[in-house]
Amino acid sequence: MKTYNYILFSLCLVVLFLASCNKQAEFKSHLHILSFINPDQTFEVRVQKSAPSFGDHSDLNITNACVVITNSSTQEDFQMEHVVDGVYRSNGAKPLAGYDYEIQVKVDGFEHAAATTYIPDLGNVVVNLSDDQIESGELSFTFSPTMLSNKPSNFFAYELIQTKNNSDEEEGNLPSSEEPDEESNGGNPNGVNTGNIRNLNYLKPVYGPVADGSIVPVETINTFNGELEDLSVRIVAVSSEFYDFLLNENQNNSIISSSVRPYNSPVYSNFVGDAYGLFGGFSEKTIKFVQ
Amino acid sequence: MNWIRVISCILLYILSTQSYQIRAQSVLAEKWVPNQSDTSYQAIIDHLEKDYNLYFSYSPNILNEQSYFQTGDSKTIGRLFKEIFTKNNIDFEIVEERRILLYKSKLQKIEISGVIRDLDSKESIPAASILIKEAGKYATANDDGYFYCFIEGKDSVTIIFNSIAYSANSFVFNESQSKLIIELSSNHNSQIATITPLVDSLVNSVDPAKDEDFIKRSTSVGLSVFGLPDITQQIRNQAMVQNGNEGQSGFVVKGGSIDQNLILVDGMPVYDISHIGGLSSIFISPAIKELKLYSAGAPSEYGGKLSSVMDVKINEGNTEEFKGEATFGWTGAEGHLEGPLVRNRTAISLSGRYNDFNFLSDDYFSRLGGYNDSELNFYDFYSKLHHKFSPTNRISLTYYRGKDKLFLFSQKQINSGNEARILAEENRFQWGNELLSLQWNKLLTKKIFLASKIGFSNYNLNGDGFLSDQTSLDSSIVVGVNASSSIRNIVGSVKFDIYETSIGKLNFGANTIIHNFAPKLNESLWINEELVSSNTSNSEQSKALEFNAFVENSISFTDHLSLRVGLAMSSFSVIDTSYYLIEPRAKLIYRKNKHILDLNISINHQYVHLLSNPGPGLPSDIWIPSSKELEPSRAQDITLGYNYFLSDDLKFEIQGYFKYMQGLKENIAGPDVLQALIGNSLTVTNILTSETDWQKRIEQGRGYSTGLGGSLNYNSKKFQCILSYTFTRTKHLFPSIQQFLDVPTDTLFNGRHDRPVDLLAQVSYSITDDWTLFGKFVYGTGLSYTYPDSYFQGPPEKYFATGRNNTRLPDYHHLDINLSYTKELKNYNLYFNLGLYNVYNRNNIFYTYLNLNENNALQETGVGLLPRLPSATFKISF
Repeated sequence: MKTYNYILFSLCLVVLFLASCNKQAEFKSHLHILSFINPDQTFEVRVQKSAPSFGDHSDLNITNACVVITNSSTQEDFQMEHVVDGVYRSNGAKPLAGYDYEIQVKVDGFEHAAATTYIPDLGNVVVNLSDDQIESGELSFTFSPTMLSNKPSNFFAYELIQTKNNSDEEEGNLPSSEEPDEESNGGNPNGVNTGNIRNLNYLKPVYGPVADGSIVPVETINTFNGELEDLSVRIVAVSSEFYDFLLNENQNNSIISSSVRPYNSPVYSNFVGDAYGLFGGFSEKTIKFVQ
Repeated sequence: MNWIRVISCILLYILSTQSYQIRAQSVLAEKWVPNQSDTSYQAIIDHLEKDYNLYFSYSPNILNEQSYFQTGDSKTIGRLFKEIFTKNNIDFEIVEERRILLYKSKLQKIEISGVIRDLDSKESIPAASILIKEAGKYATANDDGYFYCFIEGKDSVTIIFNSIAYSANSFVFNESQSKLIIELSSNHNSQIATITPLVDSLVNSVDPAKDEDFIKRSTSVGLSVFGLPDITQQIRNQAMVQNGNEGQSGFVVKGGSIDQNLILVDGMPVYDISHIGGLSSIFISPAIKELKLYSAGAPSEYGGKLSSVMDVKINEGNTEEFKGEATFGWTGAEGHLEGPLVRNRTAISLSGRYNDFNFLSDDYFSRLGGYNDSELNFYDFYSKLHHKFSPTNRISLTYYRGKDKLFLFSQKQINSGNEARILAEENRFQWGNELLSLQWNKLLTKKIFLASKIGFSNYNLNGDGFLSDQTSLDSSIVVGVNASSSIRNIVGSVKFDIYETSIGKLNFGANTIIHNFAPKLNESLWINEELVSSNTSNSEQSKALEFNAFVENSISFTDHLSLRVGLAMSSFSVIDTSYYLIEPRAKLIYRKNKHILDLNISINHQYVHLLSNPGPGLPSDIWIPSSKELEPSRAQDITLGYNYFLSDDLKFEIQGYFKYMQGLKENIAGPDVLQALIGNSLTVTNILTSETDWQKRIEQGRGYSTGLGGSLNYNSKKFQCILSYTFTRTKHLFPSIQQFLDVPTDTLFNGRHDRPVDLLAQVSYSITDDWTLFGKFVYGTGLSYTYPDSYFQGPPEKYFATGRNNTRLPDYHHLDINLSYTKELKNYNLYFNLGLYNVYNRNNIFYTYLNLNENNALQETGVGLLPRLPSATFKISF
């Protein structure tokens, strides 16, 4: 009887051990689609596919996708043509502020991907800067959005642009205010065929939706050693999807490099189907401060 | 006429009975003068029959052979009858004028109550077992060693008192007695740490087949990395408790997280019971009097956590003589002293420990992260003052303080062209607990016991990290991170034990905790020594009030079947919201011969949660309260257990459970909050975020955990063995963080402590009476964590995870061996231990981080904490 008990117990252990075997899931590649559309630039879209983190990272650009952007109001289609390295552009066509747009992407071997967005109207945005703050070297600014168009926006982002002055000192340069270089700025509005699109993931979102006429404090800079004419601010009115995208980016990104800083929260995406990415609309203007 | 006859008859009847009563009372009022032959009850009856013309009718077996000791004075017959009959549960009835009928009382009841304590130290023995032999029933002493039991319809009762690591003692009682003091002698090997008891008081490790030694000697050994008895290692030997992971703090029960265990030290909550990297627990073995661990079926007086309860009682001190011990090892020293301030009344117990690992840490962190300087040390201090007004009226004051400290510093000079840069990094971690507890326990009546506590407990965790990049005296960039978590509690509780009510034993009481939380995360950027930007999350303190009231009843239906059912009502009020919740609990036990079957059903809530880093990186834990946005967690738990005592030495147990949880919390903060402290990058990292409210870094979800565990325990004098296996599956569902397109929002992911394999094999063999060899092997599936399995080229390039907890660390396993020598001398005992932790030097991963290799390709690097570690320990006790 004792032997039987021992055998039975041992068998239970073996069964449990076998039942505990865990199978690792296989990697599945997804599409990554990035497109920021605004009235000052022709439509452009980049289509890539994902790869395993520790696998081969070559040849990720998709060059045979069928990409179509449609004006939801007028039902006008804009066929996108592949230019180079996964970048697709329209033939000079530009989106219009105040309208909704839809994108459809079809690639063999992947599910059909689609997303919608709209182009917000920037309206009359005022950036306030007091003289006392300029004199003391402490800068802070607010802006008051005024909704004028038929597609108002209450989501904003901004970027401080501070170019170096002619002084030998390089103080006061803020990591966040680097002007995007040509490489990342991508193609110009006239459709120069470069392998990159304009990337706006570095913009800082204004926290929370902004009501019409409200004054929103944005940022306080405690030290400023440059000349006033060197300071500009880019104000961007963004669609709600674009705004959520920026929140996600700011939450997960480091300024220097994201390669060793994986995302802990989900990557934001407004695509349905088998794709990640952003199809977002925006309007912008740059305000330069003159002393 | 007829009416007159009837009335006359009635009057005559009344008169006749009255006269009979008068005559009966006159018999009892007669004087009785004892003579020399009245030395037994039988002799007295013979005397009364012969000289007082009384006639007794009785069954011979009701009198026993009881002796009677004359006081020399005459007394009334009534008083004599009360003395020799009534007191011995014999009733008498005067059936005729001088004829007396004697018979046994129908509902004779013998009530026994008192205190069980240690013979040497006079300390009470909590949860000692009481076996009422004639009835085959069990009772248990409470936490203060007080017990109450009774038996009906018996002339006498044999009661066996016992407890783990004590020798049994039995007594025969013929009449009720209260305020007894039962003393048991300890029989455990003082070199081996024991915990008494580990099972619920209703489920003793009992072999009812034997009259003596029916409490199994549980001498399972749990040794720390440095060969000293360690409580958390012993806890991990229990069913449903995982064997731990590299550097793990605390313990994991039934697949839950480490914050789901309620840990009380003399009634005060404690939040972290482990020292750096799990090297040791905060408990010093001689300072601990008793430890109870409830992995299922915790009594209703405990609340506020989902998985388990660990209730620790601190040593009260020896009220007879001074005793102590001192332990020395290559990392530090430990000491314990206890003794009477007023003999048999007031005692004090002091324990302290300090360990310094600087000589290890310098080399280790130098190889790990190129650090130039480091410090790694911890200390614990316990003190308890105890005073006995009487054995059932005692007051105690307990104080504990402990602290861990980790300091890392590195500085490098880099020449880049004409520019010389100095990169420096300084990291400082400190954390620890502090508590003060005043307890007053008193027996109010024979059947009502009061236990009350008041005190406070604090937990602080503080981490600072600075990275600086200095190119000249006037040019520098500094990033600083400070993460701190502080919890202050003021606690008050009262509990009543009521014995032998019409519905069994009744417990009821209440406790209240005033919490004060201060979780804080601050990230700052300085340029040229000027603060450029700063991001602080929720630096304001928040207060919360937690209140619990409970009532619980223990009923024995038959000799085999008993039930404990309880109801607790709890409330949690914080800022502008309050929660009111009910927690029912039931525990059904069936025991027969050598089998014990128990079923536990409970609903538990948790108001205080631990936020952990979900991805690669250092564990960075912050405690937060429930709030309006963060609802309390809830668990519904059902556990079925079976124990079978195959023989005196061999016990088999198996336990299965299912637990459904809601309101679970996950940290979705982007970067590792302490990324700057890892120090594997030469670049300054700006980790400012736009999210300042820490509550927005948390998502809520639900999940379940289920498991099956079994163990075989063999305990003989020379050889002890434990073989256990636990299978645990824990799954979570967080729809708001499962937005990935290939992961539907209703897909479950592995909980962090999901562990299909958790195996323990432990052997202790006494080579001789002095030499003991100990070996232990543990194996467990690696922890689940979120791993960036996908890559987007961009720009910007991105590494991210397509699923939560989508991979595991490598499996955790190690082998430890110890050789100990014990020598008992006249006035003191000696103990030597040589040990080797992690014999085959397995690199069990503590955490992983991502970095770029020389080819600029991403790689994941795992960091282990504890390599092969020899230890040597010497202890002297007196």
